Amino acid sequence: MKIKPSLKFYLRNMFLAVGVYYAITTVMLMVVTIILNLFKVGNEEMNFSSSTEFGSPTFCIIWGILIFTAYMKFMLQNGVSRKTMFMSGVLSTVILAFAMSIIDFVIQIVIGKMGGLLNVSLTGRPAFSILYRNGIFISEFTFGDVVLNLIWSSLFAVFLGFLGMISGLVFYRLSKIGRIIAGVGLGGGLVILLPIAEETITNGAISRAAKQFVLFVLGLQHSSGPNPYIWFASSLVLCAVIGGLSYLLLRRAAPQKA
Amino acid sequence: MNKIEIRQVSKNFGDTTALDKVSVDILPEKIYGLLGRNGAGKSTLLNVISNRIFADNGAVLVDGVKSAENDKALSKVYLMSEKNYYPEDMKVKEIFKWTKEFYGNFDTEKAYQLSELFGLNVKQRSSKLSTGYASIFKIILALCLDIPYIFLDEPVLGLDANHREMFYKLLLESYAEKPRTFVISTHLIEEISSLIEDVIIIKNGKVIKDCSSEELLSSGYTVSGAAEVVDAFTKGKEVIGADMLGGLKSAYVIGTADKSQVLDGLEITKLDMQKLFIQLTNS
Repeated sequence: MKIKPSLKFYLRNMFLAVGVYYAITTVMLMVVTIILNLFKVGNEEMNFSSSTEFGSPTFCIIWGILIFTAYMKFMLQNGVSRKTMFMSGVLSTVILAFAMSIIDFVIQIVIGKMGGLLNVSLTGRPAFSILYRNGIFISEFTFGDVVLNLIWSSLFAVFLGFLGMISGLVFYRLSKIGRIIAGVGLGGGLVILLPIAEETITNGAISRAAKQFVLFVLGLQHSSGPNPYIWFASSLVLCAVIGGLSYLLLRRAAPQKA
Repeated sequence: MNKIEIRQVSKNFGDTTALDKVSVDILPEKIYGLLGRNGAGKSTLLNVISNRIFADNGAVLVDGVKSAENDKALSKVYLMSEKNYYPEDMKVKEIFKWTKEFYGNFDTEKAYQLSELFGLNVKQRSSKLSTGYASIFKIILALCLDIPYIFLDEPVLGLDANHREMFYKLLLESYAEKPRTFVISTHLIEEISSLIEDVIIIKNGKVIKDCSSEELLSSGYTVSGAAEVVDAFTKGKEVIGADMLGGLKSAYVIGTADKSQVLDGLEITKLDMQKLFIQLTNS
């Protein structure tokens, strides 16, 4: 019943931040393009990966972390149930991911065209191309490639948003000591204990298993070659699992003291 | 019947029992005083009713529907609490705007009028308001909402006497204009005693009184006079407390005063709500 105002609130806050992010990023890219033009020699080709391709998924992680933790009290004050908070939060994350993927792609095209005007050959190779299309440039994309690229990058951003969500909620639900233990334990575990365990006990089995899992979900182990459709399916499954766990954490969460 | 039913609600925080099988009905279109000492369980009860926290046992029903995690039921309830639940960077006028979005029945024009009356700067961020003005902006939100049940937890915290007087007057005007239920939780008992129709007193997580103000105040009387005379008069009666001042004594007695037994030098007056509250809630 309050899903509409909740979603409206999330989108308003989100797009303000997104607007600032893209304003800064676009200016920076244009500045880089101009600098490259000034320093290019002859007709050399400049390849770059635009910061938006990495910045946007990072933005989605941060949004996922903040969405419930930062705004829960406000929602409770306005009589919004946690169920509605969750639904509108998930919707906003999906909208954000798709919107940013589209904007990122448009920026890459625009920067490429701008490079053309400045006689700087600027071509982007998105991660999708590197993984599934032998690293062809955006300028060589077919219409099908464009659509698949947008869906792939959107789902990647959605997945990261959900990861941010569950991370934020885990820390939100932990006590003060729990947060310290989790923070130190996670960092220490990954940086110190895991390499030691891999070297001495498991003989690299964990790393190999993790690598196989990543290759599998990304569809890079398919017998007939890299397949983005596998990522479409696996990302939805992963998001459903992470989303379900996130809801379980949220449904009885109490507002934290400031 | 439309009402809020609180049924056997219990809530513990670790080893502390904040609410112990509380059962009480909050009827429509009434002004309640929710009274209790510090730590009695008032805020906990309000937080459970408004879905901010969950009861360990029991249920809260709003107009027959469980309110926990129910947007429709919660749209009939508003809690103005001591703590500020609004984002720090949000301005007062934005809060008005979003309250209207979430509740629908919010009179934005009246909110701006009241802001002017109280001298509240609507362009100020809510976190930057002084204690008094933080209370004022929350009072304005509550008074401009046309929903059936409004809970005010320490609404006059930090308010000077002039603003408190203004608030009580506006509350009564708002209630007369659009009758709805107000539940006021406060420590300033004497100030609200003339406002409230019904009283709920909580002590150690339990409801010890749930009746009309009239009934509460007529449940006993105060007898004042020379200490020995008062003692003689109150012998065998249920005395819940007494105050001494030199040789004079005031005793608070439960029951009806038998005028024929009143001796010379004794004065019988109504029970003072604050004094009665103190006597009822003293350990």
